[in-house]
Amino acid sequence: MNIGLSFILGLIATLVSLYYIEIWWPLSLIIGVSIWLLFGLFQFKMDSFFTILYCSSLVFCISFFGMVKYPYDQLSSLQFSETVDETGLSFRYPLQMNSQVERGQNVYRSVGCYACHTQQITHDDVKFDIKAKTSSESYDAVKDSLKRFYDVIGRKSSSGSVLGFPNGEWELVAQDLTTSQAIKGRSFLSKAGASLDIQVRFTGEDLMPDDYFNPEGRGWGKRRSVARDYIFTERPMLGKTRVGPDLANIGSRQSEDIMIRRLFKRHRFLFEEFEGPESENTVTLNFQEELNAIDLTNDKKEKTTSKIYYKPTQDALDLVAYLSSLKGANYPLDEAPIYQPFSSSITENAND
Amino acid sequence: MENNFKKFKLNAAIFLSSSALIWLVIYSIILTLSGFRILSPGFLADLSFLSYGRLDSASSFTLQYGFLVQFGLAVMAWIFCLRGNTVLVDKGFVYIGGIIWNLGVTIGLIGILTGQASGLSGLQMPSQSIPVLIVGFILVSLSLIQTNNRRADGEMMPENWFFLISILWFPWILGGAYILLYIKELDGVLSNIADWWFINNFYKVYLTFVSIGILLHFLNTLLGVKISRIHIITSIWILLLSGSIGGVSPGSPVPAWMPALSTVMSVFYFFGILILLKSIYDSIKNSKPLKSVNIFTYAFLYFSIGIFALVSILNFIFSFPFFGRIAEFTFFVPSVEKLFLLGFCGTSMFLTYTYITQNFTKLDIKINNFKYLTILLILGVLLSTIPSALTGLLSGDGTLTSGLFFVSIGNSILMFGSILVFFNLLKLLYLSFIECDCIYLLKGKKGGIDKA
Repeated sequence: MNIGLSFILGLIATLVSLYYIEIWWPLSLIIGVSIWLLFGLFQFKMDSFFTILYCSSLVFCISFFGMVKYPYDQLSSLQFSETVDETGLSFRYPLQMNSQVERGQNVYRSVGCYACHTQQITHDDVKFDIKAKTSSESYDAVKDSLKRFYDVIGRKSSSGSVLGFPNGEWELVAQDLTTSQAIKGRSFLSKAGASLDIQVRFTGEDLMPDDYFNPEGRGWGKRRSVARDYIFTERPMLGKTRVGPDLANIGSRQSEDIMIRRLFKRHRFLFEEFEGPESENTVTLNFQEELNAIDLTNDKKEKTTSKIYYKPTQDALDLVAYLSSLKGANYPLDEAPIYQPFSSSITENAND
Repeated sequence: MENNFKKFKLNAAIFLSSSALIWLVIYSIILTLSGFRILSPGFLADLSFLSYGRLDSASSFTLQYGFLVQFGLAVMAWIFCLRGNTVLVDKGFVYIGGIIWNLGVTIGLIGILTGQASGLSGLQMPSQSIPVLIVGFILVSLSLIQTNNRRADGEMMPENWFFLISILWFPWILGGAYILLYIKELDGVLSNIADWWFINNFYKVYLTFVSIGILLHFLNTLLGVKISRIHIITSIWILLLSGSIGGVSPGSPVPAWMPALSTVMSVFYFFGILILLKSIYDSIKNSKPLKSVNIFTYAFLYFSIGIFALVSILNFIFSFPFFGRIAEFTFFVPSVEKLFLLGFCGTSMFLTYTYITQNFTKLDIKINNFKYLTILLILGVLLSTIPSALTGLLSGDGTLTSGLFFVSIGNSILMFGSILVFFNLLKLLYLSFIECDCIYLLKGKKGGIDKA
């Protein structure tokens, strides 16, 4: 191994020891220098099994600490968070599963639903729009800071938004800002004494559609999925291919009846034939029309002249309970807010 | 079998490769069934063990652990003996390890088909099968490491470096992932992170290194190519370091630095591959193929290198968030993954099989057999991956693509190819059985003397 390559190896060893394994810095330095000397000056050769073992184990440690240990330190302390539902009611999210939902999750895993469906909502981009309002006292300072802000983000400071900035009224001062630009804008303007109203918009095929800023939206969720959504899930089945829709938020979109009918078409083994009469406590379905559409053996075709009832097994009911419980990507979290319009646009009458 | 196998006492490797080929046939049957199931969901919908989800997991599990890992071990045993000019040391370990490994694969397959899968995308098998697989692998690898250490030639060849690293790497990552998932019982996305870490290492380090090792061996054997050692040393450590970090796709619900780091590491990984491919290209530019080796061996060699280059370029391009988001959740991703597994890793194994059966056995095998076998396997690999990759990219996620129709034809062709390989193997074993006078030995008489 040449001297340059061994130096890089020594440097990596020092950095790993120092930052990942968090060894005392003089010791990290000694580790790095000794590796440099061993492989550089003393010419450890690749022909030795122990050279390969030693270097491989070093790289393995880097990989393990970088991709497993560090994320573990970062995410293992995640707890539930306070959020609000559609009606404005505050509650703790995510909710823990009850026993039926847990059984349903096992059915989901057992059938292999994750081969065709994902449980993760993504977004493509997030944009910010800023409205500002100022009083007469701080007007000049705000106008000046707005000009400087435009210079910093590379927009024309001679634009109408800056020159025609009104006094005492809400005015849209910046649109389509990135996260870092929005942070700068907030910093500049609030320090100058302006009141701010920020609109957060998300774009992405998975999210709710909007004619203006997200026309391609499929309405699978209100926000992207984040690690907190899964803290009560043992081995989340995120999936990697979508043959069908994403299910992270299916409980908010579909009724149990529709779910059962869809399950029947693809997973008939989750249902059993049922000779009536229908009782009050039994979920009984008549699939005459669907059965004609699905290929059946001749034997069963004859039976369709009479009436066939199918009832979901306990597994199917559990699975439906699980699917109905999937309402992630629906409620705002600190790290994943949902669409937030300008509050200054809402009139008092509208609030009523 | 003749020559090499008797000289190096490689019967244990034949056992591993034979059972790997049986798993290949099982894989191709499951793959064909899953292809039909996804196209017509009502077909066999009454049978729980034939649900698409189970068949999909079962097929990739059988391919990875039944065929690729096992055949790779057999090839490594052969190359270690050949390059080190030594016999296979402690071959009992290989037999016992091989039996345990096959037991682990069987437990895993039955578990997946009966609904005991883990639900993860990488380590799909039930937890019970993982310790069995680890024990089986370690036993086989003990023999391989001993064989390498007792080589008669002092100098280790570059392919041995790749093999040794992969032999060490696999139990570390599988054991590490098992401890994290089932002993430490990580939950939430941490379990997915451990799973992605494993599968990324399994593909980008273990399988890639074994296949590169095989290709380097054949480049040297068939074309007399010697690639610069310093280039290989540079690329091996770049590939190991950058390949072992990453594997997190752009939209994953994890801290943002993880997908970003994965993109950066993919760029480094691609540089490692570029160094290797450039060295291979420079070396083979002026080389002449051996006349004694048939065209099918070369077909597999060049096909495998070509697919390796293609998959590497695709992985590099789609590791960037802009392109990655286009491909995310579409059929493009699993199709390219399958192209890597079958077109690069699988083909390098087929290359070894074709070469060994034609050059180290003095048996009468019709050349037509190999012609059909090569055509079916290469056509099957291409048809079962390329159409779904292209149409997946064009039609996006959340829908079935028209390319799946061609894929199911490709799967069927691949199945016929695999069955042909298996019958070819059976014929070889039968002929070698006859040739070694085994029937006479079984009767308690010495062959050749009592034959008259």
